[in-house]
Amino acid sequence: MVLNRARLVVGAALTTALAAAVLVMPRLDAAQTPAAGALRGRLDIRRLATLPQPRPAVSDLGGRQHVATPDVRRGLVYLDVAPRSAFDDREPGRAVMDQRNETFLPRLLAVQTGTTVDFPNSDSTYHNVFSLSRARRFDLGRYAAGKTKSVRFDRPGVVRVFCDIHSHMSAFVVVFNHPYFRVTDADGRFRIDNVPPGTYTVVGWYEGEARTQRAVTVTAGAVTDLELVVP
Amino acid sequence: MRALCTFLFVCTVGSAAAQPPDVPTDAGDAGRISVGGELTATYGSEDPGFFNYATYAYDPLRNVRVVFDASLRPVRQIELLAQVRTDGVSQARMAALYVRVRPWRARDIDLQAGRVPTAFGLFGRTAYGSDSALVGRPLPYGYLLSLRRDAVPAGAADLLRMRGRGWLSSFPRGNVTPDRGLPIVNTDTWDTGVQLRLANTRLAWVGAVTAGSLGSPRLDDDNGGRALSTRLTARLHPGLVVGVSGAQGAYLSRGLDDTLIAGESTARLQQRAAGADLEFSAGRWLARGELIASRWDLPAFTGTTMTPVVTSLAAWGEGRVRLMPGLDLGLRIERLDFGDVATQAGIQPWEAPVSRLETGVAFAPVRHARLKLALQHNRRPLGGRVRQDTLLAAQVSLWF
Repeated sequence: MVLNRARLVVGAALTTALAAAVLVMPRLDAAQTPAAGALRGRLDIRRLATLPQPRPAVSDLGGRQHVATPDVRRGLVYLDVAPRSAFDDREPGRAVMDQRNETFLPRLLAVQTGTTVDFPNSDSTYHNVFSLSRARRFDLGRYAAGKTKSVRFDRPGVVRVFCDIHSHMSAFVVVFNHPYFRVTDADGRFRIDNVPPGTYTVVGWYEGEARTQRAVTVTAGAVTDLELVVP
Repeated sequence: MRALCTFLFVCTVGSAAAQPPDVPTDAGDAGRISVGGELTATYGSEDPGFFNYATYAYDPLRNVRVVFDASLRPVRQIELLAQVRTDGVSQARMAALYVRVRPWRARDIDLQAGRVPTAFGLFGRTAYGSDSALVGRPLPYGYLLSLRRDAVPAGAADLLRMRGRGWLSSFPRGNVTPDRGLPIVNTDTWDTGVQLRLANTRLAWVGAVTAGSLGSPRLDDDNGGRALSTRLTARLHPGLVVGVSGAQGAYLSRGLDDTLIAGESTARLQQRAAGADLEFSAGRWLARGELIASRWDLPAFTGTTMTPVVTSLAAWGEGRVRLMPGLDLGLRIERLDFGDVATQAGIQPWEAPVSRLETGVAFAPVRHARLKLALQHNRRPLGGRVRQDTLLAAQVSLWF
């Protein structure tokens, strides 16, 4: 419960920060936009999260199979306050979060508002994807292998995703209303391109929480290196 | 029953052995400990007809139940599992304690020994967080019949006298102190013995040899009779599972042997049951139902030499629809009928038939919490002090 509340607070803070960016940052005319810079670096996760084990199958008549280990090595890096030009209209995107061996793949997905996420079922059993998060409350019902159901995410925030049938399945969809974010690779590395010059707060996010942040100045035509540490 | 066990075993064993050798499993993490728990608080109307009571003193509609599950896997092939429960202010009791052995990583074969979950039937092994919007259990899995393990009727008139009084039944032979009767299937207490399970992607078979019986699970044998139970399920489609179950076992206590006529023994007086069930789910809908036929051998009535047999037939079906994320609506309809016995007053059912309609709504404000509100109407026109009653119950459950 405490964890869920913390995640709700983080989601609300993320939403507020992103909304504030629209008001705070001056709009840069496209013609006046100077050459963009880039952010490159590593999110150093010192202690990987320990996910809850599947609940003991005491009432079952046998053991479970096909349960894969979720990948908890990836985090998320984003600009806390984005330039106003980031909120210009754009084409809605599409992303995929698969369900395979009773695990969501990827476990962490970051998308922009308006993106439709497909949830294919690649297992032989039913799955039932749902979320009770404020940013997007949905329930896709039970569907079989080979079937895909989709959800469009229109509000920024953190959406916890679960399976109603398999309690050990969980994932994050983090929704931004700007494009300045990246999910790190398995080594924690990231690169955010086309960042307008300016000073920004860069946030390192891991397993439902903003865990670290740093002020960074991006200069035109240059790549700014950055190391963030999640203790 | 042995023939049925053998047949169902043969149906499954070949295909279980044919599992591909490279199926990934979670059985590799030796040393793993996992825990889970659930707190369920229920408050409902008084139940003077004892339609829901599991014992004379324990009303599931007014109860706080805490369940704690744990598993430890010291090596890949072996897992130790336990479940501890408390009901109300009662002492914690070990509801389950057994070892599960999975000899081969790539084959879906399990051997379980100890206090194991019942192999029989559809209910009693529910999914996590409860996938039902209802509060009550299906009648064959909790409703108390007048039959007891330590007391027996002297004649058909004793059976008629106790119709609808399973919550506090008494018979003149054996222990004459009034006590609760037996349900058809007891899911509150698990039996002690060994189980073998074979499965592939479509079929799963379980066979068990235990100390007690379907309605009277035991920690230790008290009548020299072994209980056999078996279940075969077929997944015809990812959302459609059909199952058949069978069980037989001596259900009377050895203490009654002194009251039996020559040639009878409690080890030979059995409860036998057979069931067929179906579960279907698709999208926002879930439906399941089951038919259970059961029969009990009784000791010869006073002045006779023939072993009387009493029977029951239970049918229940339920449905659940998810109206919106976190909000479910459920409905269950059920009927429990009983066979006839000949009495001086004519041919009559030996127990009072019961019918029940229950509807409920469940709401999950967050993932680990669930609130339920259920309305249950019971009818038992042929027996008991209360012949019909409508009960309302609210339930809060938290799980991790």
